[in-house]
Amino acid sequence: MVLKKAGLFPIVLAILLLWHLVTAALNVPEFMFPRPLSVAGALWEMLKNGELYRNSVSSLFRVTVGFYLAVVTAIPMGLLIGRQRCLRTILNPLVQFLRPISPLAWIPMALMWFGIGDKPAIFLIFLSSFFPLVVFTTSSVLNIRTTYLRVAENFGLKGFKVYMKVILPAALPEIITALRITLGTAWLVIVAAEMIAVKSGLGYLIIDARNSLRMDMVVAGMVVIGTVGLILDYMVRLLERMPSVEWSRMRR
Amino acid sequence: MLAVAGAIFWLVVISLLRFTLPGASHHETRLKVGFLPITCHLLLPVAMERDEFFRKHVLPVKYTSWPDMIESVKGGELDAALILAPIAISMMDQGVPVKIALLGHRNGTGLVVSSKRPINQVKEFEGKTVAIPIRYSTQNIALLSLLEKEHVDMQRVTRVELPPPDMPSALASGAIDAYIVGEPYATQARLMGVGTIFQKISSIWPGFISSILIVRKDALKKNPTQMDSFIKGLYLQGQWIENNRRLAADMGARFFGLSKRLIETVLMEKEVSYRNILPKKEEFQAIGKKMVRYGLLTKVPDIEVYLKWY
Repeated sequence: MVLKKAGLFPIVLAILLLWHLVTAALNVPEFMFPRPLSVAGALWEMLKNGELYRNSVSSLFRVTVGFYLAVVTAIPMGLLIGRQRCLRTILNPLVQFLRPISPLAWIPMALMWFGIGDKPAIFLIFLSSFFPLVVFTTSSVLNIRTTYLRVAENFGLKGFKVYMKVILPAALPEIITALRITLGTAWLVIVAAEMIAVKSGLGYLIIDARNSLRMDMVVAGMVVIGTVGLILDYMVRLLERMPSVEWSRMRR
Repeated sequence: MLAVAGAIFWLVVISLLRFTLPGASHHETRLKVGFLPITCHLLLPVAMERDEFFRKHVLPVKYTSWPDMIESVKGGELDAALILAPIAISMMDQGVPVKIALLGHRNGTGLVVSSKRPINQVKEFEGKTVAIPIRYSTQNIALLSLLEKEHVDMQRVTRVELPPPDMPSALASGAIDAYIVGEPYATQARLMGVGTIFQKISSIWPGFISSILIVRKDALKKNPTQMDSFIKGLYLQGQWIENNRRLAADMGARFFGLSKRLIETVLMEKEVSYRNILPKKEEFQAIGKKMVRYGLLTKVPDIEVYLKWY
């Protein structure tokens, strides 16, 4: 860990230096692509006036609520679809059909149904995570070794208990991976979702900076989005180290 | 278990942070009014500055593109909006419950061409790309009328829809050859030195109407007196702007977040007019007929219904 951190710092510094040298050497005007120093200045400015905090909190709140809603609905649904053949026949085509539609295609409806503010953005985040999670969960249930299920049957486990004691734990490692991927897409979508009528959030920050012709702030917003994305990914990766998930790696 | 507890803890923390932010929205009783940063919507910032009623009872909501605003009106998120006249007419046609209240202003639209690659006659627009704000705009209708009048093959003029603030830079980069738009985005290209005005639309369409004020019927029913004060207050600002153009420009620039010099230039040229902004049936019918002519509408709705108030 220490070594990793020590290794990261020079790399970041080198990238910043390269960025500065290239933009300076090619004499790229600030309004086309700003220098690292002016981006740092913009970051400092946003930190001081509270914009950074305000917008990050708004975005994180929307992603959290939308993503959680998707998790608590999609995982049970995926478990059911994976287990019940008739449900699978009915719902699978619908889920498969809706999954490849970008949540951004729902923007017009989201605006009409939910107005402006948090709700449409949460709805879009929910959509971006819900369908992939259902699909991943279903397939992880289908991948469970039949031995486990037979053993459960021999022990006389039935109904709800089968789900809690066997199916969910067996599918959990793959579900955690799915959570990681979908959280990544949710964070991708939030920026686009906030470019429509909202007054806060990192997506709004970028659009607002663009409208006031502040390219340094646009790039500063991108830096913040990337950093928060990294932190989110790191947090979900911690889940993969849980003992109830680790076992799947030992199997390999 | 630990992970679930952690997840719940995070939800609580982030929700707390979110709702302690200043300006977290609660129940809103003010009139929500949609607008774009254009001089056609100047009545609103001036009223916000000068009228006590507006400060207490009106919440302006800024948009940067027409489609977002359209959806907010349709969904009932907005109680009123300053919106392009053809959009309003097509909403009436679709059965969206709105009424026409006022015009935003008159004139104030220009056809802008690049100063580097000038176009001198209407004929030369053939084979060129022209940006319009949205197809449901009087700007689009004016452009098509101009082309038709000069017998230009309309199929050979590419029209692209762009948000007005992006137009001057698109012209500068060469992505488009010309654009037609409401002020201040025509004047902006001139001040930036990237474009010249090919034609002021007021010279071919006197008293040109761009945006109008529409109000939703449900909002009107809910609080007619509030709506009444809102519309009257807005109307009265028209007269004041006419006599105090410089001050009005200053208010508009601050409210819209645009350069003061830009808005002042537009207003001091006195082409845009805030007089005579009560809606007239004939003018809307004429716009409706042109929309039918250019395939934007199948039939003109009965405008009278939308002008009748009580």
